[in-house]
Amino acid sequence: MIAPDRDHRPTQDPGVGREPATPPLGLPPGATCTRISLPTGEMLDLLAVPMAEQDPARPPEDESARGRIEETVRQWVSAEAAPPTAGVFVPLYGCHVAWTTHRAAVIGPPERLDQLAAAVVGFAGVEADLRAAERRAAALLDTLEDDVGGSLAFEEHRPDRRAELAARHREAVAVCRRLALLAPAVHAPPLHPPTLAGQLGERLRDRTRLVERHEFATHRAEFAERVAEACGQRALEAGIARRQTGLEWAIVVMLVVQTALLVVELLAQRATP
Amino acid sequence: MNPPTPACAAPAADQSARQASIDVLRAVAIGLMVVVHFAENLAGWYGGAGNAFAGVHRTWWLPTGFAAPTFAFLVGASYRLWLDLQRRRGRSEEAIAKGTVRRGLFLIGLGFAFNVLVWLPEDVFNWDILTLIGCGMLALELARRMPDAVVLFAAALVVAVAPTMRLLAGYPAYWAEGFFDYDFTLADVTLGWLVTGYFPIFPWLAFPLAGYALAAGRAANAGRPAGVGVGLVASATVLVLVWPSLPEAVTGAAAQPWTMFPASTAYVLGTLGAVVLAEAALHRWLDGPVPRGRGLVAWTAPLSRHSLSIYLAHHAVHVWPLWAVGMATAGDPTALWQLAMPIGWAIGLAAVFLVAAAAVCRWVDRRDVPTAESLMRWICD
Amino acid sequence: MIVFRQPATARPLRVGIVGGGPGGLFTAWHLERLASAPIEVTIFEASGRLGGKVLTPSFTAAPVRYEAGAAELYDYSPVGDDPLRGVVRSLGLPTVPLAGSAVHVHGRRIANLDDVSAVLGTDGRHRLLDFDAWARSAMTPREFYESGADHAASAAPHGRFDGSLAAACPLSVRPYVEALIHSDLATEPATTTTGYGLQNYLMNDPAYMRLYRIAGGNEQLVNAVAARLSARIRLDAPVTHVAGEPQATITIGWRHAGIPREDAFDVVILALPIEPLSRLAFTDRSLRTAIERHIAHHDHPAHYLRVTLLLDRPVTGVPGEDDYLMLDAFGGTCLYVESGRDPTARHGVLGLLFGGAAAAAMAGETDASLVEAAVATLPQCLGIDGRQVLEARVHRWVGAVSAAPGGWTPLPVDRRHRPSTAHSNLFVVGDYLFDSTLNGVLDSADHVAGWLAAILAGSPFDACVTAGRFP
Repeated sequence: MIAPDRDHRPTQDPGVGREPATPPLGLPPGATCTRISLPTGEMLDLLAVPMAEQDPARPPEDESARGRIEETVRQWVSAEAAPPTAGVFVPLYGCHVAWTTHRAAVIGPPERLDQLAAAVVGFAGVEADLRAAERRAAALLDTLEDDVGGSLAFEEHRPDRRAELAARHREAVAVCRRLALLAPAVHAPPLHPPTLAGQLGERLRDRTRLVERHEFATHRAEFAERVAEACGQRALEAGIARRQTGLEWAIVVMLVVQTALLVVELLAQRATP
Repeated sequence: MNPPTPACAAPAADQSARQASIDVLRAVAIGLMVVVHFAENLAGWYGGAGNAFAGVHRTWWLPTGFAAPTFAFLVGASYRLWLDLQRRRGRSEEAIAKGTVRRGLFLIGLGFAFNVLVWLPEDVFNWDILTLIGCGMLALELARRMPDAVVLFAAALVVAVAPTMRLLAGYPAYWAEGFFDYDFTLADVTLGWLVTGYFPIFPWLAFPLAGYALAAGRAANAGRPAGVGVGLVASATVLVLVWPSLPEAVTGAAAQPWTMFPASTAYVLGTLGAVVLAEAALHRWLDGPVPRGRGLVAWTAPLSRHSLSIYLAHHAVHVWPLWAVGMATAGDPTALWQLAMPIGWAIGLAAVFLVAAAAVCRWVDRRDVPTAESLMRWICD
Repeated sequence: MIVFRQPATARPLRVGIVGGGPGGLFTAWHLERLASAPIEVTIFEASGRLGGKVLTPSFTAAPVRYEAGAAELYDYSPVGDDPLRGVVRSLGLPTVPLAGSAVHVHGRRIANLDDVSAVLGTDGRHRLLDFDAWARSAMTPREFYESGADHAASAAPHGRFDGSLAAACPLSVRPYVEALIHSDLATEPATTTTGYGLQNYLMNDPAYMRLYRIAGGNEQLVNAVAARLSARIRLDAPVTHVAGEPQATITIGWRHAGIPREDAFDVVILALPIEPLSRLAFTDRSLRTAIERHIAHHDHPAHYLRVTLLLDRPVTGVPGEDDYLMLDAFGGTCLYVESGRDPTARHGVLGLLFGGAAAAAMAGETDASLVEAAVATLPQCLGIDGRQVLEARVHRWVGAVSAAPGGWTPLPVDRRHRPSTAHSNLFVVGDYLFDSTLNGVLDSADHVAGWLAAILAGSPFDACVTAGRFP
């Protein structure tokens, strides 16, 4: 089991033993399957298949064996593809990487498998985090129609709204914060000269449109935060106005009672004894 | 004479705005009212809070003095619920204001007419319970614009200045005969409305105001009104205990701490506290997500819905025959007042009336027969 | 002096533009947008098409298009404002990013630092990182972006690029670096400046610049610009001579269908590459001298030769699904996989871009031998041996770009665009005045158009000004 550390990167938890998932049949010896715990609590089964790279200086060899292995791996990964996220398959300089939200596989020379696996796991953590933030941002929008009226004028006759609006604001800020923390990982500029792991990360980010999704989720969360903040502002203003109004009304009431006392006194002098 | 009036004051509440606790409490108040009125007017028996005339009976077991506070308090509570319903339905503030003011004016006019037709023409400005509730509606139209804390403050102020006002107005002079007696002068009429009448603004306006303010957020926190109720009853108890040592500004120079006419501070606080506690208890019991006491609610809700009609009808049923027989036998309509029958018969008649009224109300609901409430809705909506 | 004679009715400013390539088109485009007074633009193009080096023809054997000239556009938006990107966006043209990391050296693929370690060893990796650090310290992204401008500053050493390479790039990694940049440089390191050489190395770093193309062919850019011009366009109208006294109207002599004609203009803009510019005749001696001086300063020809192959099947086996890869053949050759991104493609299209001395030398060979040489250059991993080639096209761009854009010692930007102060109404536009790219030619066109527009806005054109002159 690989558990996330404080910075939400999956790490090795020395206290917990690995829980190998079952690799598919027909793979070369040395293929391993590891279950990894992502920061969001989701599990990722990572299949690592060692396979020597074809020499680019030589004509392509008989592709049937390589093709069968790649197809087997692709099917294994695709079996766990959950819509709307489709599987991503990346051929990359002698390696092949397949990824879905719950399964991933790396095929490549043995000396490069570790860095490929680390790149995949790092990406999967960020993607899972982003997906969770997307869900929360979408949930915020569900209640937006209810709140929009309150962003213009606080509903005085619904005092329970204060607690509700406060909760929504907290959630909107929390989602914005989460997305802001993800931004460096999502928008990380490509390194140059590139490394294989860096290139893989870029390809995966590009194929899963991580940047666009992050921007979209950020827009949603920021919009919800603005509405919640406006509602809070209206509530605050209503409270202040209410207090001011209350004081004014209290003065009015006292003046009315004082006037009534005066009237009673005057009338009593004129009244029939 | 303490005829209170019920749900009419809260403009025709839609079924969805009704709460079982309010209906039950109002029906209880109706029962108390009918029993006490029959006992007082037919047999001349008065309870502890009632003003006892010479030659009539006073007893501890007649629940005199609890119906009127209950009705007045429920006016405010029902109005709050009705207001919330209208706002949820998207009714404009202007329409709400018009409806409220029209109902208030209707009840004031009805009160004058009632005094003339049921009692005597010279009793038109008695400032009875109907005119109080009508004035209460007009006050609530203003109160709904204020924060609840200010409304409670206004209620407290109304109670606090009432004894002083009575001192200034010379209250005892208007009650020398044991009933409200005034001259047809502007001064007397105005003083009657404000201080010296049967149900003057000061301090009776405190009941609908308190009912309105304490009904806020009752679904969210039913414990708070209960705490207020306990505090009020405790305050009343303390006042009663230390009454002789209190200044005139508090006592209004009244010798007794617990009187309905005038409504002493201890009486107001005590009855208000009792109503608040009763309503809180019923609310907790009956108004939860799981309906309870269905049978009880089924019989009390019609009474509550037609409380204005019952108020008018029960007077007509027991007072008009009194006038008629008195006129016929002795040439004086008041000849048999308080002397018509023994207390047992009066109580029995009251019980018969209540049962008949409950049945009639259920029949009226099924047949959609015009009532005082439907007349009010037709005029005011 | 220029005399703006007021006729009975006010007339527009007559602008003549020689050259219907990107320079002429962009200049007309900007002028029509910036001019605050009426102008009448005429574009003279010797060939039958507009667009110059931006060319996306189609094969005959199959309806498949390919890039014959400028294959990529440069995206400077990571660093600063990118006017070309803005033009593309304003024209509504969809773009596709281009990427490619692989360099094939001695039959081995180097696509990342891990490959560098595997092929050149750990020492090679360190050497490459050292060279890369030196290059980036010699020219920051901001300096890269502003290179060519008057205020551009750089820590890059002056002098020839081969000297800098020898000093900063160890032998172990030099083949990799040279293969990486040769086809972009289009010349040899000895014939260009260190600054230009560095630019062609650093352009591979996404922090400096990214590449993209226009979906459906880059020629759509020039076609879209041309379609929006209200200028009069004369195709098949080679300009034979330019005549004009200093501060006087300029006459352009041109031919159409063999008939010589002449038109007079208030302003003339020569938007030609160096070679056709040098073939223009100038009747005024001072103007001729100025132009010759201008040419001499900027004549540092670089060469391209492009061979494009249409294959009978899609291309497979491209490592990393790159859009292009670099080969070390012929000093450094860029192999474009033009059909790679289209999953529905039934044919493969490979374009080989030869540059520099190799391109110049190969330009004299026949098309057939060039195709044969190109096929032989292809990496073995693609599994292409010539039998799959349905059709091949060769495009020779000898001297079409500059090896030292702006000259060895760049002139001030204004001087670059107006060779003769005596002929203040004659301007020059060209990519060789900046960085030999489409971005550069747009900058050049923008400079001249903005200059003219400022003059038009400042001077009361409709006044009869005997003393009026172009500032």
